[in-house]
Amino acid sequence: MKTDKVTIVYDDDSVRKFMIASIFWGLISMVAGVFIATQLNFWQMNGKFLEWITFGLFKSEGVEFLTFGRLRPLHTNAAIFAFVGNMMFAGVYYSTQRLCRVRMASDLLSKINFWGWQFIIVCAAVTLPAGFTRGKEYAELIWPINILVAVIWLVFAANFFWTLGKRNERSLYVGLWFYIATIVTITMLYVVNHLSIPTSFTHSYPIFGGVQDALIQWWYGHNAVAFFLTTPMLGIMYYFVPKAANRPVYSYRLSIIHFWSLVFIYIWAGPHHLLNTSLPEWLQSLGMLFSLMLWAPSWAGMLNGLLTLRGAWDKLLTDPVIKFFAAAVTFYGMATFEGPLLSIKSVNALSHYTDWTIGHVHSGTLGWNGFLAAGMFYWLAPRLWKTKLYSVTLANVHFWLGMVGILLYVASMWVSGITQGLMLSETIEGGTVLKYPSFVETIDAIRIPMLTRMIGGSFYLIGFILMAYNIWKTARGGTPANGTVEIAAQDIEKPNWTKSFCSAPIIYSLLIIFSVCLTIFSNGALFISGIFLTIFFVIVAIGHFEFSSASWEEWYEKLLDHGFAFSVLTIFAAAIGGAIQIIPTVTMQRADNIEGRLQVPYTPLELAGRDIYVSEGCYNCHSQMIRTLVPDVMRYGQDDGYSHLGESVYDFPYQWGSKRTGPDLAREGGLRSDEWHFLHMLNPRQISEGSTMPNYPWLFKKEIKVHQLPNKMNAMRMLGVPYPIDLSEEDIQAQIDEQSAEIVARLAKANIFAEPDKEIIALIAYLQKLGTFEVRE
Amino acid sequence: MKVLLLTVFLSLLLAVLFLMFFILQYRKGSFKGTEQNALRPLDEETSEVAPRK
Repeated sequence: MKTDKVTIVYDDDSVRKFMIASIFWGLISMVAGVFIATQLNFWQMNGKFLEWITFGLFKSEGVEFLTFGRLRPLHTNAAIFAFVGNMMFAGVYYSTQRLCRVRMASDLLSKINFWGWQFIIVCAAVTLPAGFTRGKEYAELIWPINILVAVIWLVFAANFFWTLGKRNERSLYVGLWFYIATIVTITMLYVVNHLSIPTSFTHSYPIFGGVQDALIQWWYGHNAVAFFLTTPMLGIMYYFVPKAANRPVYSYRLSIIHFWSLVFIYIWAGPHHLLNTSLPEWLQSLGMLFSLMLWAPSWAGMLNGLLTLRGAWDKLLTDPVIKFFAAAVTFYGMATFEGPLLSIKSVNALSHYTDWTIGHVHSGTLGWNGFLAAGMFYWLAPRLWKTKLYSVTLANVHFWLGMVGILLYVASMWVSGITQGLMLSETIEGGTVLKYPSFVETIDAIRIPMLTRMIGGSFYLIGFILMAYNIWKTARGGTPANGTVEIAAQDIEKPNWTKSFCSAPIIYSLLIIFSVCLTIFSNGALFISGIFLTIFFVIVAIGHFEFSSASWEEWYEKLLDHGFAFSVLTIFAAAIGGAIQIIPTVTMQRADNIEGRLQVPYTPLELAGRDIYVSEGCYNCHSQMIRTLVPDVMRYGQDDGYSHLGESVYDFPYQWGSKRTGPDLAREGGLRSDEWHFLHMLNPRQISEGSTMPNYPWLFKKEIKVHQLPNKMNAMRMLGVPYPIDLSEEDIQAQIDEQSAEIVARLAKANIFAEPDKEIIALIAYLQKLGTFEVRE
Repeated sequence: MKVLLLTVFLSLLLAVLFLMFFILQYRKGSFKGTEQNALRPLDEETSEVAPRK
């Protein structure tokens, strides 16, 4: 019998492009990382160093585009979205085509995806150092770029799901489940956390403020780690580790448990970033509990990945790919053990706001993401260019340099974080006095670990440069090649769209989801009927399952045949945790959730100062949240206790922060004089010896952008800040003139001459306002 | 020596159980399992030189 064969040529050109882009942006992100690490050791690296390397030709006490506050977001965004993002696209494009035995659905969409993503990265690389930011971690990009990201992400989604629809393979392999989870969840997280009201082409305010913004930010921030840095990596692990080891995944059944439990549990864990703050207790407890539960599915994945290497451990000696994969999966296990540990409230009381968290994040990004990327690139390069890897020795050197680099980095961050955390909490005289009242003292104690971190990061960077050279030489020595596969025409089973819906597990899943949604999103009779329908459909589904003597395997297999139902179930599993945590917090009247204190709204000048604070990225080093912990209250409380929810109710975006490289500023207002702030911003070391903060000379030259304030105040009013409705531009100008004149007069008394229209005056006004509230019964 | 009897008994028991389950599965006629999907990444492929642009 003659069988017709169909030849499918995969689109590996896109894979090559994404891989090269990932390596290029990876280098940029790591150079930025090492550079900002040097800034934490040597304040001169914030611009003064240019004077030295140009032998005095370029005179500057500080360069605004090079400060830690502006470059740290560039580093994190480049590492997450540019390096790992492009690596993810490379892995997804390569494996999806093979697992579906079909070329990507549209070459045009693939090209738009690639070039659009690179354009976004370039926009980010320009705007972030220029100080255009939304002031929320990993969500800094300004609103026009946010829209671009959403559009390009949807192009990727359309191309991916279209490819799934055209697949020549009935079932969806586990790697594809993780890609589906990534696409649907990131869409949901990104859109919600980036909802903003624009005030100009480069500025907007998020629609959530205070505690609501904090909760949404960490629902997004934590799950950016979960669904951008983890689930796509797991999909890649489930495809490339079996490929490299030449044996199937250890347990496919375990991967089913791994997937569903991970997708369901991860989303609940966001509040562990806000432990011991004034976030409602029930949310903190849920965050901690689910973070601890997350340990189990994460380790299911790690064990499944590592045990896939069963019988192939000898390859560790000879194959750098296996070496990188084994180390990456191990780092995944270690990072996902440390994460739940840090989520325990008592551990978090010590670790939060310190370098311990930074070390934890880097063991994940450098160890898990970075090494997985390296393993994948070393495996892909010879295949994509149809040749041998240029140098196995170089790859091995890369591995050991990277490994030593990570260990130096992580260990120094443990030492630094625990040392500083303990010092900041230590008391004497029966717990009545802080042992180290000066913050700078604690910085002095961690100078060696900070230097070690820089060295560790440099090791990792050198290893990565070796990889870039190795891959470049491999590509130069080979010819670009595309994978092809021949499939018999009769093998191609096109899923019947209508028929596939007429399957018991699909129908029950969709009906149950519909009923649960009815319960969650409605009230009255619809709410009651939602409950009854949910119970009814669950009982009918169980009854049908039992009486039809079907097996779980059969029903699950039917779900896998049906990409749509599978995706809907994934959305539901991922969304439920966020919905339960966020909907009550967001829909609650803010006036009911202020714990007896109401923030005094900012004056126009203070608002301008706040926007400068956000634009300079001060939140990267200073928190504005006095936790409900005795040492925090003793150090920062100023007799007013911890930061109550109402104290940041008008903060769009919230500025609670996540790291204290410098002290907390929640009650900074009135604590020090105007001239202290003036001189401190000019040269922090003049006032506070040993400080690592940059100089901010440009704040004394740049003028306050008064013309932007009417739009900004209108946006604030729309968000609920009680500004008078009839406030004219002249009124705003008059208020600014009056308040800035007062500050200038106070400075003059201290023999400091200042111009009233400069940014420093607005910033001083803002800093002096921090912690101002009214008591409400 | 009594332990030998026990060992033989247990081994036979395991063998009979294995045979029983095998026959049951064979009669059911189902030779497809979820674990089979785990083989998907191991498909072989060839490669052709990419056309110059």
